[in-house]
Amino acid sequence: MKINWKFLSLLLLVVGLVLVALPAQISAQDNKIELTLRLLPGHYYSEVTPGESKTLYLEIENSGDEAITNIEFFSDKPEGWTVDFDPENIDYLAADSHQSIDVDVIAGKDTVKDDYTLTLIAEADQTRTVTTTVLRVEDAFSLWRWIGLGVGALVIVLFVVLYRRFGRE
Amino acid sequence: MIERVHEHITGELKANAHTDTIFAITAIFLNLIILGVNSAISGSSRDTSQTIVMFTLVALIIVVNFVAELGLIRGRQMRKKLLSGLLKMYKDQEVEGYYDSSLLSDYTTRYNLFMLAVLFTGVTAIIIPFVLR
Repeated sequence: MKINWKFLSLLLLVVGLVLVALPAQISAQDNKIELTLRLLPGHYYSEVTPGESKTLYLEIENSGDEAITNIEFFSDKPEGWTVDFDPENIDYLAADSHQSIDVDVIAGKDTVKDDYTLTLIAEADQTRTVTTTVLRVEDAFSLWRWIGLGVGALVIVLFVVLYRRFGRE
Repeated sequence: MIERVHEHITGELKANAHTDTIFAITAIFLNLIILGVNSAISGSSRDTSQTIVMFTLVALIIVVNFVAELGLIRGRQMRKKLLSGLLKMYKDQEVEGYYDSSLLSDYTTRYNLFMLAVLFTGVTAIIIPFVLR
């Protein structure tokens, strides 16, 4: 039996092309999954007072081609802080849609004045996304301020006494 | 003799004005320096040693302001006494018409304003670092 080498090589070329092109075709048909979490402008560097509630406004956007399900929100927060999401989770977010979320942040009462990073996480069945923000903790009317005002008032009282005692002509 | 007394009184008045200027300027300058130092300390860490430095500087403000205020009060009284003597002298020499006696109260007002400036820079230098802390 005579082997038709020309036909065989052509056949192998076709099979090779099919093997190379098919996976690419399959992946091109994959749906894009893209979930974006972002804080609304003006909430990237907010000030919070220990013990007082501060609301940040988040927006979650599904910019992919298919719906995203069971999105749950978490946070990576400093110790002693409370972070609550409203809503706490989203069951279904259709493709090319977005939803706003209120994030209620309460810094612990003992938090000292400084800048703190808060990481907000959205985890769904299909994907996971993260965003961060910096929160500046400002003191409530602290003991130090009372001390300063007290010493200041004491100095004024001392001056009045001094003036009345020694200021007589 | 009366000329010598007059020279003595005017010399005392000059020395008095010089001393009081030093009191007021030193106190205000020191208050502003300590305001800067304490504000810098309170803006940095809350180390115990830094808190001690801060309170020590506050104590320094109180003492220096107390001394300056007392000095200014005494200076005002001294100036009043010297000017009263000078006025009496002018009266005896029948030249009192050249010296307006209302200058006495003007000097009193000026001294009170100096004292207020010293007091309030002192109070500001004490309060602001604690507010920033």
